[in-house]
Amino acid sequence: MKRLETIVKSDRLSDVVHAIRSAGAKGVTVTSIKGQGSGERPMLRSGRGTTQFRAEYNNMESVMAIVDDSEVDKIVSAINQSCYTGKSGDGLVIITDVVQVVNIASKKTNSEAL
Amino acid sequence: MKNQKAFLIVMFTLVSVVSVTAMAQAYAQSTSDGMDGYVIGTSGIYTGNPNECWYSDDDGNMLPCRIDTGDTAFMLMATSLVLLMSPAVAVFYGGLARSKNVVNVFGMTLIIMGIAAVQWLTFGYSLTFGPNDAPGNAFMGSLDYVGFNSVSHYAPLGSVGPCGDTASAAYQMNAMVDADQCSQDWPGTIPHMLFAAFQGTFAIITPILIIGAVVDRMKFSAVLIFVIVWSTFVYYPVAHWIWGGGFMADGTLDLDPSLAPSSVLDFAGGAVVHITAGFAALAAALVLGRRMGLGKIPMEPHNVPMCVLGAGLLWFGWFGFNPGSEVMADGISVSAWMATNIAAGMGTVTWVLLSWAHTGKPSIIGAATGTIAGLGTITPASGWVGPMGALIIGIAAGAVCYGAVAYKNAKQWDDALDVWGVHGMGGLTGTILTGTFASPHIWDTGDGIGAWTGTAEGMEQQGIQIIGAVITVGYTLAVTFSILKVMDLVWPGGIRVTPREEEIGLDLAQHGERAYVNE
Repeated sequence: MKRLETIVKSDRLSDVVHAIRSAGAKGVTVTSIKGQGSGERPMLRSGRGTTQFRAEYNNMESVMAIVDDSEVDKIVSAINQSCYTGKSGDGLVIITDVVQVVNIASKKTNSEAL
Repeated sequence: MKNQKAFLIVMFTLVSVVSVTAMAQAYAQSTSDGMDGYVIGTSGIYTGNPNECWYSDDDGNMLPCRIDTGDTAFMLMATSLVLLMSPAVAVFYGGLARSKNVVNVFGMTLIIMGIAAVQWLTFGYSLTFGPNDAPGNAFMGSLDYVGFNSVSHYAPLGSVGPCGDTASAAYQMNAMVDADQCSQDWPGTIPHMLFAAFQGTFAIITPILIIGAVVDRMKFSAVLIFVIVWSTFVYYPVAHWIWGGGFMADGTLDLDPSLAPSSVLDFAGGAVVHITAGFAALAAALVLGRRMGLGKIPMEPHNVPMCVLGAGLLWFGWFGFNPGSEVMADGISVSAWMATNIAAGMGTVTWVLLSWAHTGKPSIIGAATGTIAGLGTITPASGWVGPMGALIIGIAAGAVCYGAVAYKNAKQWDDALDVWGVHGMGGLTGTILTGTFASPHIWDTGDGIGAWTGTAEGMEQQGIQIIGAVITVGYTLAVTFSILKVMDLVWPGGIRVTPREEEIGLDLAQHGERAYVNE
């Protein structure tokens, strides 16, 4: 079991969720987040239009999916296809090991729990 | 303990206001000719005020002079329009504020509407427009109208005379009336109380404008007391000087008595309202100091649609503010309407173009601000300039106020919502430009001769305008600064909230309420 945390720009959310689900993930958990990274933050207006400043954060979405080890490569490549522009700021996919998953309703664990 | 103190202060204020009102009412009823049924018959409404227009019928009853129903209907509407501008300021400022302080902005506005309305009744109107009988009245009105004593809701102001020959006969339906019971003076076609009500809405909105400078950090309790003191020592005197027959209107500033101009021209309050509010805001910002984190964290408007809606409502309400200041429905109010609209439009366009050229994109917050700048700047000139003069004033409004806001940002003066940059500098620009663009083609009396005419009269008017504006600026800054410094010294813990409260936001810290609840 792996945990895929995909961080993308807010306007890519629908595409990336569609890609992850189409590639076989049983479900996703989406969190709206703000962050600073290699991506350029937008310039915003200030002082009644007399000045501008750089936004403190970029608005991003974090899409979390728990998947079987065998599906990881397929899903990551689907994410890449859906979000790739080649510019910094496209986002990250963070893959971590999952120790155990328990479905609260069915009491089943791991793959059967999803 | 802290809450108890605030509670005591509020209770003390309320008790004071109620006592003064009660005393004023008792005073009103004690006069021999008094109001409220002390005289039997139709003349029971007689106030005994010699400054009002009353005439005696054959039976010895005192009856009110004729009013003009058109003027009265128009002024009732104009008064209501100006009152609408106060909540419009709350919407405008609320949009510009941060989401954690919106309730406080609306709260300050609403409470000032309440306080200023009551204060106007108790002694404000009297100090501003009370009869001028003594030399000291050059600086302050009298106490004759305390509690609206001797303020009739029937009779107009002025002396009685033939209707065909009033000061405004050329415009008035009264001119066609074959009678001898018309007021000969201005404003003589509406009931005295309606004039008091109209002016009262100005006394309400002016202190409300100031709160834009103190948002995010001034204690609510301190705002209450500040408004009462500030209105008494800044607004009422300045309004009296210019509108109530004080030294700016009685010929004291007449530079050359052989030439026609003798007083400061301020049609609807460029000096009285906008200079006083704007420069008081600057003083308040300097006394209170910067908000925590200014320049380090973004403090951007939290709701642009609210800003634009507020600016739109203000634009609408200004058609009561400026045309209504004629206190008649005639050619001057029509001219003032047009000048107001043109300057507001041109201020908006100028600001957007400047922000576009200067910082790359057309700012919509800037557009709303430009609207207010145009409206504030045309205010003193609205009844004195023609439409093309208004166009130039609109451009000047956008340019000067844009520069003032940029300068304020560079200086890091934390006049949070740009009251000084927009109202103060707009009012100052407008008051000076009134002396430049005032046109003798507007009034059939030939009044209002600006410097553009190239005449000696025009130059004198320009000089009077500058002197009047400078006195108003200096007086407002000095007195407001003193009021707030003294308040800060004597107030328990100062007039600024604690840093912790500032961080939480005044909505929760001061009121325990939130603007936006998601649960």
